[in-house]
Parts: sequence; structure tokens; C-alpha cells
Amino acid sequence: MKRKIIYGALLTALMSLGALTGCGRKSGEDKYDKDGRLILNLKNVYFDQWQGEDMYTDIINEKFNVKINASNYAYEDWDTMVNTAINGNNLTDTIQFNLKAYNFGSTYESWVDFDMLKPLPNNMSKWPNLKKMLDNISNVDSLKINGKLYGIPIANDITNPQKDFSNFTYVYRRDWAKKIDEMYPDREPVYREGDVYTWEEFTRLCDAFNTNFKTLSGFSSGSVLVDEEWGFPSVTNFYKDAPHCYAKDSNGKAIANFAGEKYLAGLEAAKEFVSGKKIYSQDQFNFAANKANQLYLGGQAAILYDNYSLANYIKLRKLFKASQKLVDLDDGTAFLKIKGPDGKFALEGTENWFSMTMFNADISDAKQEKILDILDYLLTEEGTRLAIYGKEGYDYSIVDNKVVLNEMGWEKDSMTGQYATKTNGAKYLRYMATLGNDTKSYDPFTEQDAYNLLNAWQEEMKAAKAAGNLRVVKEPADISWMSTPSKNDKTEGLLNDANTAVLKYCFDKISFDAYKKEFESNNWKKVLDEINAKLGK
Amino acid sequence: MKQRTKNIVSLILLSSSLIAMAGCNQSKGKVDKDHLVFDKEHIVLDNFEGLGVEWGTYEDPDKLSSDSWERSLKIMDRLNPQVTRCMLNYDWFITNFDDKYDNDTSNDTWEYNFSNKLMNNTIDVLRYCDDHDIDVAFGCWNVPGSLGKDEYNMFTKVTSDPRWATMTADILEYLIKFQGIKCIKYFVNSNEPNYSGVEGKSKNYNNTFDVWAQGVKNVRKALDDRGFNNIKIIGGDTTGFEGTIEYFNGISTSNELKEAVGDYGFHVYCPNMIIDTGDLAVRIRDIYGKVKKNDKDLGVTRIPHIWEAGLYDGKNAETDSNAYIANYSYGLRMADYTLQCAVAGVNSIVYWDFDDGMHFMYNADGTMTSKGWGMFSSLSTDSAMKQRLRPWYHSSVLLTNLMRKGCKIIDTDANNPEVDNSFRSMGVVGPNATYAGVVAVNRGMMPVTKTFRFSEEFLANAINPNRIYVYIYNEADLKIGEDGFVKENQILELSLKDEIEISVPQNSMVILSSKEL
Repeated sequence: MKRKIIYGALLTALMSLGALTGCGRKSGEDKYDKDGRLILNLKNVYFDQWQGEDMYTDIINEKFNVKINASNYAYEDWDTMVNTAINGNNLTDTIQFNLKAYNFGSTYESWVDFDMLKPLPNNMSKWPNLKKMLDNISNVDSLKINGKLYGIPIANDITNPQKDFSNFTYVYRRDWAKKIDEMYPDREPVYREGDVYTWEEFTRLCDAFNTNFKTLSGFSSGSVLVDEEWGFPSVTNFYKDAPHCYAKDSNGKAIANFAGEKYLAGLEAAKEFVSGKKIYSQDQFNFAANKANQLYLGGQAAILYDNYSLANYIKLRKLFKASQKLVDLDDGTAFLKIKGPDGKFALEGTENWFSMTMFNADISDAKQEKILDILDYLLTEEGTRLAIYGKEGYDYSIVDNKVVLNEMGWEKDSMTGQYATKTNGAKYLRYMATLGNDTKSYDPFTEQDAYNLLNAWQEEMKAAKAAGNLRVVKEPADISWMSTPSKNDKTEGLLNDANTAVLKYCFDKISFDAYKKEFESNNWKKVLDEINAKLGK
Repeated sequence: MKQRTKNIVSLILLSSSLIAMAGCNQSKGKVDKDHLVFDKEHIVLDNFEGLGVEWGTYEDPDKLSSDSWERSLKIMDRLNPQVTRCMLNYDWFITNFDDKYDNDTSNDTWEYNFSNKLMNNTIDVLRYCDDHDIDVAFGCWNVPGSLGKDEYNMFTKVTSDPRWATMTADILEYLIKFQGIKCIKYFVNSNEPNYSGVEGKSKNYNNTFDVWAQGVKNVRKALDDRGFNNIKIIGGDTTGFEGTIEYFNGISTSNELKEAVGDYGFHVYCPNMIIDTGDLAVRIRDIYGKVKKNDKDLGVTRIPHIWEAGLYDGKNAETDSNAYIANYSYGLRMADYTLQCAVAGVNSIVYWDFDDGMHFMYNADGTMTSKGWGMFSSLSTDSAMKQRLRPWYHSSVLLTNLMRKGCKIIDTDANNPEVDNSFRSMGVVGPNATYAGVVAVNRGMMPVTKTFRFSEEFLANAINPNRIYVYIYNEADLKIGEDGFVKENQILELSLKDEIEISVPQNSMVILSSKEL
């Protein structure tokens, strides 16, 4: 058993909980249950409704001669729980961490430095499906330290790795847009077929919503546009060319994005939307999480900006259907496609993976290989069928080379006519490698109407990108995954402070000069200097 | 083998037919899966304790109108359970808690306020149980205190905290000595102690087997000190097969704990596949087989029980409801579940649960939604569909009224899933052979024809000789009387002393009973 010393001075600021004085590792010896099966302790944020006991997990256990114990992180405490486990040297065999560019140096890199994580084997050819997936991970080389990758970046969609834009976008009340046109048949219509709006058409639509809000909603006051609190002010997307702290100027030098020329143009547009035209909710300053959704679902907002993962979009539609019973569901949750002043759609960029499955440094090679065996299997056709359909013969049969669901294994809720939840450990385990977007089109649990609408939007954006009509707003990758002492230490704080300054400026709580000063601080200077030094600028 | 009376009766029962006919013998040495005999050799339980349903304190009695309560009692009357589990929270009654502003919990003081709606409702439930000879497992969900607050500072030691034992004894003393309640036979030392949950989200996070075991010892002593030696503590009340094995092993290898508990009881929320393939009985036997190795008194003084019985598939964790609860299949699977547990030696089973109106999910926005696991909903605010009696209520009525206290449960070799994993049956013989019945479950996609016969020693001197009530449970054939409750599909002028041949429709349960259920 190795004893590792973790020095508080370096990590205290990075790991928010727990004493960081020396901690002895727990034994790394593999343990076996009474039946001689290797015990695997796996932890994942998606295991919240699975404890590792079901017939499908039994199939995996039997096939690989393992005993899987599953536990989960509470989503809202996810980072804290991982950090606490790291600090306490109390890691399960695998952990899942929400690795982001801004916490890269402060977590992943430090954990590697302190020998907390076990790297993947150099040669992954034994696991061809995993290897293929890893080969397509965006910026995967940035995640390697001394040539080693310390975990599995969890792929968004293994069949569509080239998608590099997020689903942070708008839905809107198409029914209201149409209603305005019905109310004013002699005026130029505000509704645009296909829900595609130029910037002028969009602002005109917003003005029309504003003018007619009471008639449309029945409420004496409300909001045209609401952003979920993390996304405000979303309209800056149509101006800025980087989503977070850092951008580059025309000379390739790193600058504070929030003080850059393009961002400032977007900021002024946002301010106009807030205090000039009063398009944004006047309560947006105080929004808590989910407030924007609440207003939209309550019929008190016309346009909602959020992250439309399939799960979120399905949830929105479900809640909308319950709260706005008389509104056509598709009209009430239609995607609004806006072209910015430059004539292009604009979406925030994203990696093609989300979070990382990491391995406790203390586990044996054999145990790690066993886990990789399982994950690789779950990416095969057979493993995927187990994860999506269940057990052949019970849940489904293959007839003429096609999967046919069996009535015994697939039953519908008599009230809703939908397939109800089926706890399938194989599906949960597959989340350790991929979020499963590759299977949504045929997963019996997928709400196909929502899927088709979201997929159509994604295809439209992909086509727009191919045609040069979509601007993907990305932080320069060489800065994003760059590690410098100050950047690692201060980026999260700088981002939070910047967002606060943006909010305050838009709501007239600070002057433009005060806003600008925020980005002239010593902290910003120090971080940018370090970045530019590394960039050679 | 004696030749039986030959009776041939042709019947058309909706989608099924039943024919009583001359007997065919079960061949020795080889399992005959078509001609089933219930004989002495296959008695698995000699003194069954009955079936029941969870009927806990209603968390919001204000939602229960007097009409709803009256309706609930009629529904309970027809269900006619013989065992129930009634759970509450101590927080509802503790008042004036004083921790003396120190870390010493031994000097803490508190009082009780039993004059509230929650206690009134608890007593209503318990008095009903007293009046109807229903054995009650009484308990508290978990230690008092609210998540994020822990005002009693009990989340560290959980049930091993000595104050827990004192509170338990105090509350039982109030119910038994002051209110005169007699039906409490078991105490539940916290719900599902092996499920620790997520830190910060569960009061049970710090629980371990040793912590729970200390709590059991404390409670045992506290109850004995108050003269409640006859109240048994449930040995586990755990959930899941793995966690249960850990607790059962811990209990069965400790003489002190064996003395302290009165059963080996757990919860089984079973995946459909385990039931559908007949594997549940195999697993139950496996679990109790392990216990038996350490505790020869299993089944004698410490009895196998299932205190929460339900289906896992269909569970929506967000709403804590089961999407299949209103499907006919839920009733069929629960009947199959019951049969498999009984032939595996479980002495009583308590279904989860009676009424959607008992338990709620408390949402972040301050609203409450009822948990949909019940046999109906008593909430007038629920949709008419939810208020209706669900199919699994009717299948449960048949089983609770057939499988009574003191009856014998008789297995057959054909229940081995390696012989046939889609058809199962059991014989039930009432005390002193006053009645008998056959429960047959066909999980296959085709009707099957089987003959059933009781060996003569069971029925020689008793039972109604010339009447068999036939009940068929499936979506097409379930017969509901004008009173809204299940009734027989057919009455045959035959005796269970005869060999009976029946065609059991696909995906159905058929019950033959010498008494009306």
C-alpha cells in the first residue's frame, strides 16, 4: 500500500471540502465475493435509480464473473462528492467527474500529479469499440498527460462524433406568433414558416409579443424572453466569438472575452433587450435555477433559452402539456431558429463528450481490464441490444434479422400507453462510456415525437454549419485546455465575477466604466499574462 | 391409487373451459407436469400466517374525507387481510425537545403530544386491526429530525441512539396501555435499514448492520423492561436480496440477536423477469437456506416474512409510483409472486400498498403528489380512474381470502422452473381441512390443461363436498359483482375430493376453492 501525501497549499483552493493533510490509501487488493467473483465498486451520477440489482446486471455479472456494486452521486453535489472522496482517499474503483476546461488543472491534472488516478493502458487495441470511441473524442490529446489518458471521456453520441455545437437554444410560442398574425391580418406577418428568423424578424417578433402580451397570455404582465439563469444574456451569442472567459484578438493574443469588442457589442444588445425594449424579463436579475422554465410553463413568457438535451426537451414538453392543456404541444414548444446580425445562426460550441469515467489508481490492472471488457462489450451490437432491449428470448426476439419486442418483457402503462421504466443495469453501465444518444432513435423508452423534433433541429443546424451558415462559438482549444497556475486557480472565480458584472451592467446596477474595470484587475492580468506566455504572445 | 369418482362437466367460461374428470396418477420418479397432486410430502408450510397489505398512518389525514374513510374500510373489509404493517414518524408526536444546549444526549428531555390527527388516524387503523384480528407490524420510518437540520442530533447513531429505544417504548406504551391496542405483534426497527442512500439526502446514511443491531438490542431491552416481551422485533425489514443476505447472516450468526428478533423479514420489489421465469422461489429458498444453516429455529420461532411486496419494473423514482399498477398484469404477477413465495416457505406477505392516499412525494415547489402503489386511491382530488379499484386489488382479495391463518401450503414438483417455468400451482388447505383450494398461474402465451388432486388425507373428513367456486383472473374473464367486488365465474357441483381437470387460459390465474372467497 502506497502512502501519498497531498499538500494542502496546492490543493486547498481546488478541493473545497475535507482536510488535505496526508492521507493513507486504502488497500488496493482486489476483493472477491464468496462465489469467487471479482467485486467492482462503480460510481456514477447516472446511477441514481439503480443500485446494481436486476436481472440484466446479473447477466453482466455472470458473463464477466464479477459482482458489480453500484452507487451514485447526487447531481447537485456531484463535484463536492468527488472532491470529498478524493480528499478522503475514499475512492470507489471508478469515479465519474464533471471535467471541464476551467477545472482541468485544478482537478484532473492535480489528481494525476498526486497519483490518484490510474491511466488507461497505452495499447487499447484489446477493446476495439472503446478505442474507436476514444479516437473520435474531441481534444483528446489535451486530456493526455505524458501521453497517458487518465479516464474515459464519456461520448455524447458515438455515431455522431463530429457534432460540435451544444443544444443551448430557444423554444417559443409559435401559437402566439400565429395568433398575432390572425389578430392583424393587414400587417406584415411576424410568424416565419419553418421558425427561421433573421435578426430583424426576431426583434420584430419580440416587439409584437411585447405589445400583445396581455392578449396572448391573459396575464397583465409577463416576459417575452427568459433565459435559464446560467445562460443570461443569451443574445450575446449572436455577437461574441467565445463563450467563457478567454478569447483571442486579431493577433492571436489571449484577451478577456467579456471585455472584447465583439462581446461588448453583444452586451449592448442585451442591455437594449433588458432596459430599452424590455424584451427580457425584468426579474431576470433575480432568477434562480429553473425560474425561466417556470415562467414559460406558466404561460408567462414567450421565448425560453435553455439546454435542450433530449431529456430536458422531453421534460419541457411533458410539463407544458400538463400546464397548457389547450395549446398544441408542438406549437407551444417549437424551436426558434434565429440568425444573428451577421446572417448566421450562432450556437455555443461543445466537446463531443461530457464528463469522464476515471479509475482509482489503487485498483489492479486486472480489475481495470475487467471494467474495460464490460464497457467494450456494451458498445458491441450484442451489448447494446442488452442495454436497450434486454435479454434475448425474454424481452425481445430476432425475427428476420430485426428486433421484435416481446409482450412479456415490454409492457405499457395502461394509463399513458407508454412503456414504463425498466431497470436495466446494462444500460446504466453503458453510461460509463457514452451518454447513449446513439440509441435514442430506436430505444423503446424514447419519446419519439420529442426526439424527432429535436433531431430535425439538430440536422438543420448541421446542414447550416456545412453551408457556412452556423457560427459555433468556441473558446480557442489551445487556451481552453491550457494549464497554468493562475488559470487553474482563478478561472472559475473570474467567470463567476464576470457573469455577475454582466448581469449588473445589463440591469443598470453598474456603469460601463465599472464593468470594464472588472476585467482590468490584477487577477485577470496575471492569468492572461501566463496564458500569453505559453502561447508565445 | 384409488380410482376417483368420474365426473364430466363441460363448461364455457368466457375464454376458458373446465372439466372435472377421472384421475390420472402422477408417476413416481419423473415429474408429471400435467397431473398435479397435492400430498403430505409436499407441505411447505403447516401454519401459514395469512396475507395482508401495508396500511400505514395517513400522512395527511385532512385529505381523507369521512366518505373516503368509510369507502376505504369497505374495501379493507372485502380484502380481509390478516396481517399489516403500519408505519409512522415519531416527529409527529415529539414536542418540547430540550437538548440542554450541550452535546450530551443522555440528559435530553422531551414530551409527547398524542392529541393530533396523525395519532387519531393511527389509532383508527389499529382499532380496525384489533376488531378484525389483524396482526400488525408497527414501526417508525426512521429516526426523528428533518434532513438538513437533524434537530435531535440522531443521524449519526441512527437507531442505535438510546433515545430511539426510549421513544419506541414510550409510544408503544401509550398505544398499548393507554389506548388498549392489542394487535401490535411486531416492531419495525426503521424502514429498510440497509439502504443508506446518498449522503445529505438520507437520514439512514450512517447506518450499518452493527448500528442497526445495537438499536435492536436497545429496543428489545426497552420493550422487555416495559413488559412488552410479546412484541417481536423484525429481523431486518431490509430491501433487496444482497443487503438482506448480509443482515440475515449477521442475525443468524449472533445468539444475542437471534434472541432479540422474532422473524427474518424483508422487502422484495421484484423485477418482472424474476417472477416470470419462476426464479423468485429459487432465490427465496436460497436466502432462507443460508439462514437455516445458522439458525435451526428458522420457521419455528423466527419466521420468514415479506413485509413489503411489490414489483420493481415500472417504478418511477421521480414520483415514487408504479406505472403498471393499474394493469391486469400487475395483479397476475403479484399473484405469481405470492405463490412463489409461499411455496418457497414464506409465512406471510404484506403487499405494498393499500391506498395511494396514504403516502406523498413532497415536491420542491411545495406541492404534494400521492405515491401510486395502491390498490386504489381514496383521494377525491385524484382522477376517477385512480379512485377505482385496480385489478390487483381483486386478485389480492382472492388470495387473502383463500390463504388464511393456520392453513397449509402445498407445493408440487412441477413448480420447479427447470420442469416448467411458465406454469405454477399450489394447494391450500384450511385449518382442520375446513376448506381447500388450488391456485394456478399460467404465465405462458397459450392455454394449458392440467389436472389437480389432493391426496385423501387432507380432505377425507371435511370441506364442502359438492361445491367448487371458480375464479378466473385475466382482463377478459375477471368477474366483478354489482357491489364492485370480485365474484366467482362459476360454481361447480363438484368436490375438491375429485380430480379436477382444468384449462387455464394464457396469462391468467385460476383459483378453485371449496369456499366462496
